[in-house]
Amino acid sequence: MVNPNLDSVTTIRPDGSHRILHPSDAKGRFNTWRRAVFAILILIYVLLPWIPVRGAPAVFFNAAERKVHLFGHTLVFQDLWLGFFLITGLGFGLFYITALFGRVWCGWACPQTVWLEGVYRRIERWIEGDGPKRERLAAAPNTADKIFKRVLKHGLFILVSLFIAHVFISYFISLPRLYSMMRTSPLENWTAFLWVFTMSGIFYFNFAWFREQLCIVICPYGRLQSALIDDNSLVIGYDTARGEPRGKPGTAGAGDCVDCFRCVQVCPTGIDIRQGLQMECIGCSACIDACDDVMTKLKRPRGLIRYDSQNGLTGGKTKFLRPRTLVYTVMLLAGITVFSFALSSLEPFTATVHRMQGSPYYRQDGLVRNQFQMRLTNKSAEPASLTIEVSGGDHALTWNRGDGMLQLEGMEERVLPLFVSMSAAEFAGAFPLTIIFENPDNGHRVEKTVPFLGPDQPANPPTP
Amino acid sequence: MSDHKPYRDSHEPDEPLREHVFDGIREFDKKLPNWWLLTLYGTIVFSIAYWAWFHIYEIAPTPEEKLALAQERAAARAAEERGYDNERLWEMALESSIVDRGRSHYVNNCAACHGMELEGGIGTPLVDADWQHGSEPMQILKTILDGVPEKGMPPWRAGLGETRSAEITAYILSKNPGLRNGASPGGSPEEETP
Repeated sequence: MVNPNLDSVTTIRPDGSHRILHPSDAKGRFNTWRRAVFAILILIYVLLPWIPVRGAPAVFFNAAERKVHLFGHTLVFQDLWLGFFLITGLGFGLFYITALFGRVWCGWACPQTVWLEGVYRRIERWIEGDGPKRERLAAAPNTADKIFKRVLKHGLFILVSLFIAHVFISYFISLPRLYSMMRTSPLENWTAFLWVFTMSGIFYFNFAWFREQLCIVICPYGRLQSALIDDNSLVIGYDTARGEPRGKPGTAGAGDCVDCFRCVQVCPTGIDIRQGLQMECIGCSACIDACDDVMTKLKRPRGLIRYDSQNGLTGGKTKFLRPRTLVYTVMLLAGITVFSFALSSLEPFTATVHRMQGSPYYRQDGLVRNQFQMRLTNKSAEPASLTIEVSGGDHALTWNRGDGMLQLEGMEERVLPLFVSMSAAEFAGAFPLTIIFENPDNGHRVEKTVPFLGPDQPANPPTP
Repeated sequence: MSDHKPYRDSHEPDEPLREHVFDGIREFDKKLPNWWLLTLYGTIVFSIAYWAWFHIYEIAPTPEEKLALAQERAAARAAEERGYDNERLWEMALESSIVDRGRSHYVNNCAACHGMELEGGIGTPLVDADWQHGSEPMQILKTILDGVPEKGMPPWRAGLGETRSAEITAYILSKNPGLRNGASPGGSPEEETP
């Protein structure tokens, strides 16, 4: 029987060993909703690499070519700066959610919780039964029945871990390649195999044994909680005024808490929520369901343990509009605006124009010629056709790409020469040359300006 | 907090405390989790093994040594590749894979001036008997790499590099099989034939 206190971590025994918890199942509305959310999230994790958006998987970190595909956007190495907005955006998003709703991420959406509660503990429960049964099994001697159950459970755990590792690596290696790797000898792709098996091993260790230790000891987000939440943040709490003093039903002067310990039995991190907000709480809401169930049976109102702010739990009102949330809102909106703007300013192709090495201009057959080098990069996975137009104001120009059409394969980079000439007799000083690249299919346009140079014409002022 | 008992299982009164006190706050002297200590001892063991492996017994080359080795190999390979001469370039001109690569570089970089069929344009034709800067394979390669700035032929050493320039040379040679018998700069093919 777990008997939590505020001075020590339940899952770490005084001798430093790991106390394995056997939390019971809590049935109730939050649990039902959580299962639905887990199922949807697992579907999303698994399917994202399978959904093609504009010729590439929806989310794909192409390790081999160092490219990132995000919902149809292709980010190449020079777009790395966008990562700044992505990381800070995720950070601010998390801060914002935390200030308003506490650790709702931990309990509802963190992959650790999703896989542990949504898959591993379901397998465990299916094979070994509910909490008390599992506790008895753990204490029982090694009978054939226990060994069978344990082998079955860990076998399934390993299978699921291998599955998750393959899902994980499919974000980095394309599916056809992964499939062909899975069908060839491990020796041919031993680094990828080593990765997958190391990851499977880590997942298995984490979800079969380590579990809540990750949230309690390793996860930095959990440690930031105390700085991110205040008395108005939504947390899971126990209504002390209503519950205390505890007593059996019918006891004179007793509060609503009957001290049944259901909330402790269902807790996946082994705390007693009635001792107040604690750093181990991952906001999973199991204790709410457990307590609501008991209160309903006793025909007392639900919500002795509930989602509420510290203010709400002590009889006050929760204030959602407060300086902290306002500042976070402004910063989050600013971040989203800048990120969207930056993302929309990403060009599906890039073009640079440089003057070629050598003389700045050449004179030949009564013409002045400038020589440039264009570097064109198609950043989308699809082929692109570009028109190239050279414009120099009123000057009559000829250039070597007369037809002006150019085909670039998906992801192709091409370096091409560009020679622009005009009559030497008409040249009257340097003027800006605009080179316009346009994709007629989507209307995307890039303009580059370079000066057109020629022999000095001191008698004539340069044209504007 | 109100006067009710907040939790039933408070710590033992004789639980060891650390000596330091900060603003009246004291710290329990608890044991660290065993798994955590294991990672600490694991890193210590690893560091000793690493030290012995790389620095005492030198079983495997250190990253620096590996880098030096790789750089040496790369330099040797580059030197070998750079060893172009007339004969080697003519051999390359007979290899269709090299000529195909050369053709694709030519189309992208050279055809703008010298024409799709090497017939010339802004630049000189590359299929007639007139070779202003030498018709020997190495002379052609040198012209591509270093350019003829005063005539508008840019140097391609930085842009294309030696390998691709040599492939272009091979492509040009493949279109001029007559040069094999020895054409001299601007002269007739017979002049240098022994």
